Amino acid sequence: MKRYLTSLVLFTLAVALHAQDRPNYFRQYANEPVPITNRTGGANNKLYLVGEDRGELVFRYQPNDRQEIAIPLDTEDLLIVFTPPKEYLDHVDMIEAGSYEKAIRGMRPYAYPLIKYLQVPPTNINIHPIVDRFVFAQARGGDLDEAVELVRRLPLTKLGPTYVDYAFVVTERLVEAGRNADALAMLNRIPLNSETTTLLPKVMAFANTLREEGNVTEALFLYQRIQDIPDTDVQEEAIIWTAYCNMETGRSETAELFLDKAGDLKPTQRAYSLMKLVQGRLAEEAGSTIDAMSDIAQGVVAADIGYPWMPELLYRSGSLYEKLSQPEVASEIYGEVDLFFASTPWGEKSRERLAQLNATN
Amino acid sequence: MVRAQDAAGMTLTELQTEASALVDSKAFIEARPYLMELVTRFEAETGPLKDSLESVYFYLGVGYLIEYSEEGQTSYLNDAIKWMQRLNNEFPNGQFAVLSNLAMADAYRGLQKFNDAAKVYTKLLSPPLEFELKAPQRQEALRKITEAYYIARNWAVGTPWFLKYLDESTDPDDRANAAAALMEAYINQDRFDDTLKLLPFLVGESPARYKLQLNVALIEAGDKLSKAERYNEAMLMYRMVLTVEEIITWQEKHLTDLRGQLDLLRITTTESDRMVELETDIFNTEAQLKALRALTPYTPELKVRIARTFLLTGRDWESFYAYKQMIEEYPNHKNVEDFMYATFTAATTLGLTDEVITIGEDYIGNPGFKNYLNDIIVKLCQFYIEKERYEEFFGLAKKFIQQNPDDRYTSQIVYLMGSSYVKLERYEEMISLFRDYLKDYPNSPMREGCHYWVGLGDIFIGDYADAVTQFNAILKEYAGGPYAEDALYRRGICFFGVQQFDDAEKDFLAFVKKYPDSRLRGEAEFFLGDIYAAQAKVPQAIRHYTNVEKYTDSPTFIRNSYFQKGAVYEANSRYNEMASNFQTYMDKYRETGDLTGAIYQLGRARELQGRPQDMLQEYITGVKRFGNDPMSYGIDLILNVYGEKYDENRKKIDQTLAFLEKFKGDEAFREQIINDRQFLFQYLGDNPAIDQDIQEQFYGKTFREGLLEDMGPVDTWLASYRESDAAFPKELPAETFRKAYREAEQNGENTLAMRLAMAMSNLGTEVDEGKLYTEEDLMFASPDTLIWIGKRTEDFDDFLARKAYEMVIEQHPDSDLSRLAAMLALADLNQEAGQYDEALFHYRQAEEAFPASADTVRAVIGQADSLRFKGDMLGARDKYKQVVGRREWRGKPQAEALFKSGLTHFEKEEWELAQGYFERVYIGHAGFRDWASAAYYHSGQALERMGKLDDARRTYDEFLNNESFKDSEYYQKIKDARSALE
Repeated sequence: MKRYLTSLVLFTLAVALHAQDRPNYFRQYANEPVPITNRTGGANNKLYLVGEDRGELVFRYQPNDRQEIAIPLDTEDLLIVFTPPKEYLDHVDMIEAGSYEKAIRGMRPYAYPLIKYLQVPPTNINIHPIVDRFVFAQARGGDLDEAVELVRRLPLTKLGPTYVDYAFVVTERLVEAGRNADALAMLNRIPLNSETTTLLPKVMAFANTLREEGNVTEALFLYQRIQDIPDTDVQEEAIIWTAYCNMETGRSETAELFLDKAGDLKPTQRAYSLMKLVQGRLAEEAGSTIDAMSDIAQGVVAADIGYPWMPELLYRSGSLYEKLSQPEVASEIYGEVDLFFASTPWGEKSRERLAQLNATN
Repeated sequence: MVRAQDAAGMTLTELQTEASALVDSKAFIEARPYLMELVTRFEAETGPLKDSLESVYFYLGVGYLIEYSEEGQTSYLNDAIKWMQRLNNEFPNGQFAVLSNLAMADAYRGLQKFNDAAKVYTKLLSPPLEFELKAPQRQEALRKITEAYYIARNWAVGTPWFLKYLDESTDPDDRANAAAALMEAYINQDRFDDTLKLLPFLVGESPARYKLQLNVALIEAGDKLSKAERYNEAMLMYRMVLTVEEIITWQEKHLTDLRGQLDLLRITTTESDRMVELETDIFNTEAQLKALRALTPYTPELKVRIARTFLLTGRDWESFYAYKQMIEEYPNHKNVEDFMYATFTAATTLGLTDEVITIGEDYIGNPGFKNYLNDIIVKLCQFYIEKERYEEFFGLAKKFIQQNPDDRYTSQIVYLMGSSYVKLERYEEMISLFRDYLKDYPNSPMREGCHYWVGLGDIFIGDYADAVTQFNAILKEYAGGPYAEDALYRRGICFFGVQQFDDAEKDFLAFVKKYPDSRLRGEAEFFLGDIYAAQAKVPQAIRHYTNVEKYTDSPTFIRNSYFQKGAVYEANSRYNEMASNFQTYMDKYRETGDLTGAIYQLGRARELQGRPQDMLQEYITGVKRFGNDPMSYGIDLILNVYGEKYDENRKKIDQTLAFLEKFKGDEAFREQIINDRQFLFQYLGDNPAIDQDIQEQFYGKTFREGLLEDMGPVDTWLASYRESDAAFPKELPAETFRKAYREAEQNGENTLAMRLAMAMSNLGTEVDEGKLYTEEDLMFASPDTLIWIGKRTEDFDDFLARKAYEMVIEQHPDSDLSRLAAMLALADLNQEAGQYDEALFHYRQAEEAFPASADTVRAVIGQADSLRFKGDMLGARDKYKQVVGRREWRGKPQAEALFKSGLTHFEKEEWELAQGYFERVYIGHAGFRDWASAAYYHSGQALERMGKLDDARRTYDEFLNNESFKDSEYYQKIKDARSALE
């Protein structure tokens, strides 16, 4: 028992120490009373907004006054006006000019306390543009940990697509910083549904990055989330990537099931060439070089050079031509992969094959 | 709106306060009268008052820019430019220099004066203003100067700026934009190598790629590279091009995105700069979309280029699918016929048979397609053949010839038809059709082929005379044609077939001389060997047989040349050469040759050399060496002859030695042999195994009498036979086999062990008597052993017997006579079990597989019997008739067939017809007593049924009076029948 307690104490300390590493602005400012003017029903009285509780806004006459009054959110003509400090316009200018950190520094004291009222409709309270600029600045250029913490506190599922977009910008910054695990955790908080479809290409790109870096299981998780949203532009692509990841992890039969799920695609559809890539690889795995070549060639013909799977598609085409004893054609294709996609793993593989072919000849 | 005179009436302080307040609140348009009044009051001044005009000029210019953005009148832009220029002139290095130039450039852009805008950006990006630019401003200036020169297509001046933009940018979209501009500049300057280096910047879904102008330039670059036969590089260019549809789709999405951004911006900010920028983007995108939608898409032409370039770069698979897609997407394209032909050709190259057939059929099904019709028909024919869709092939081919009898493709079609007919063994049909063609189309290029295939068909049906006529036509009329070589060879074969050896010799010699490198040279040499062998021209025969292996790789011809050469040596008593010939064959063709056959022949040569012990030794060595391989079929033959040869030679040595010893040692006997010819013949008749050469010598009286003076020859023979006797194995074959059997068993050589068990069984000695063979044993058995096991087990294990026979048929396709025996055995088993359909199948299979074998008659009679048992008398009669009609089946088989033909009527109570057949049997085939007896009986029975009792009596009497039928199984039956008619 003692041993257990010791461990627990150590753990708590560690968390506390870690938390002390950086300031927690949310904790510092979020509960500060907000000076507002209540103009509900033609009133004009200065109050301090201290919170929201069970469908009512709670006010105090003075910040430290213990007496509170409450106005239900469904009150007719509810209108709460917040007057930002005069520096606000300067802060907005800074944000426009890209000086995010400077703006954030100035905005923290008055912006953080507003965040918890974001769910109050803009018709009832005028804080939204201010919070929006603040979150925008945080997402774009603030301290990444502060931004992550801020976004973590936002009730994303209840806010509009704008905030989801900001959350995704933070996710992208995490990806750029190489913090894939944090990015994935962030992404798991972001609601992906029919209202956030504009984000899907970016989520898809992130899943692709994860897959290319070998994090196939994580990528698979994202692809499955994407494919669950009906009637999106990327749904088929996500289904086929799911097939691809299953194939990569040795579950060819499951891969086949997902290909079936994708249905019959036409060459004019974007996902068609991806489907052909997976089918070709499955055929090759089954030992049928001709069927594999046929699928891959159909994929190459239908694909655009900008598709994320184009490097692999071309590389596979080269390797199949090699198998079919056409090393000259294979060399040209490997050269093409190297030219267009030099920095990808397929570019590297192509250079290796080219070197080997040159050595053989 | 404040009027100018109001402003003019203000004090300076009032004026400045009002102007400042409006400018601070960004009401530049409203500020204009006050600003103008300030200009009026200060423009003639100098010093600080004059200096204060810099900002006034700037805000005046900005005011016009805003007015333009609100109302869209370009005159406002000119006004804006005027004020910015004035600012630049009067305050070139002032605090508003950068901003005013940026604003002026925007105004020029708004006026579509891109070269002028670019000049302003150039000024901004050059000292001294360059040093005043902030990083984002510099980036913006670079972006916009690139855009300005790009739109103005001013490549020469723009290129350095494009490069600078590319070098200094880090954002992928900026780099892509720079690369796109630079790429177009390079393409215009034909700098393709530099262009190619830029392609990677545009990979990915960068907005820069979605400019129509860039894509058109890429197509042009591809075309130029293609013209220069730089197909791989051309392909790289084409691959980068987006179709108009793709660009439209992207622009539409882009437009939606821009509108979304603008809506968002309207909610979240009051700043107008970004909004103006977005509005401009939206305006431009809408304009682009409008232009794109009005454009005739280049998509099909691009796809054709890509498909063609795939083809030219050897990427046949991609080429095939690219063209195929063209057909599907643009079925009404003016060049769809070309697409189909290209797809068809690619499919043929790739061997995609089903595709070839589908596309080919689609092509020929379109009456408007003519350009490639003939080529497609010929190839389609080839693929029908490959798929064994012969009826469709013949249909198409005949139709083509009928419609285009004089087309050059007819010769190819006839070739395909001829080779198919031969493969299908439809000789009569082929001969008839091609004869009609020869008659109907006197000028067709296919005539040569028709002659050839008719000639070849003639050979197959045995009409050598007509075949010669056909080949003569080829050799006379088409001596330089593609069939001439084969025709000369085939004519030689025809002459050989009818034993016109002189003509055959002439043709084969001419063939060897004219076509020394022909693939048929080896075969011609072989036939020359045969011709000379038949004419007893031994040296020539040997020479040509020896030539065979120099000119062919065919194992069959090489084997036959050695074996025939061996036969020539044997016929000429050149046994040493015979032995060495087979030894050489075995040494040279150790891997691929008929080694067991050669061992057999080598053994025979040893025997002929007078060394039977060596023969037996060769045989038993061969048996042990190859006997465990079930595929070495010759071993079964060797095992069969081993016992016979042992007995034969044992007897020969014994009788010859006894005779010579007695002749040498018994004076009375010697005298009697020499002097009493009758005694000599009697003695030799009683001892037929005595060496034939010695017997022949003794037939001569002079020789015999000479022996009284000189016993030398006898002594020599005696010495030789004593030596043979000493060397000849004392061990009996059964014992030799038993030992070998035990040895094989110990070594786990199952196949050999079973073969030896069979050999012993054939000698009347069972090893492991009562052993029951299992399915597992069958896996190791040779074909003959399988049949032996089958026969042994038929009575008690029908399943195993059938299995054994089936294994011979399925697993030993080259075992020839064993296979025939297995088919017949299987058929007999079915027949006995009353499974007539199965029996019929196996008999028919035997006949088809071995049409010329001696035992085939059993298969034909078996089929007839099956049909008869099934009640199909007409069918049965046809098959019996087939036996009666074949010369080589004369004798007993024909007697049986005639008798059974009679039975087909007898069983239908057609007495007269039946009796006719029976009569033919006992009159024409009396020598075959079994069938003759049966025929007598059934004939009498038929006559009785017809009421012709006298004739019946006469028939029975004729039989009963013939002594040779006394032992017949019908004798008692006929005697009883005759008694009943008393």
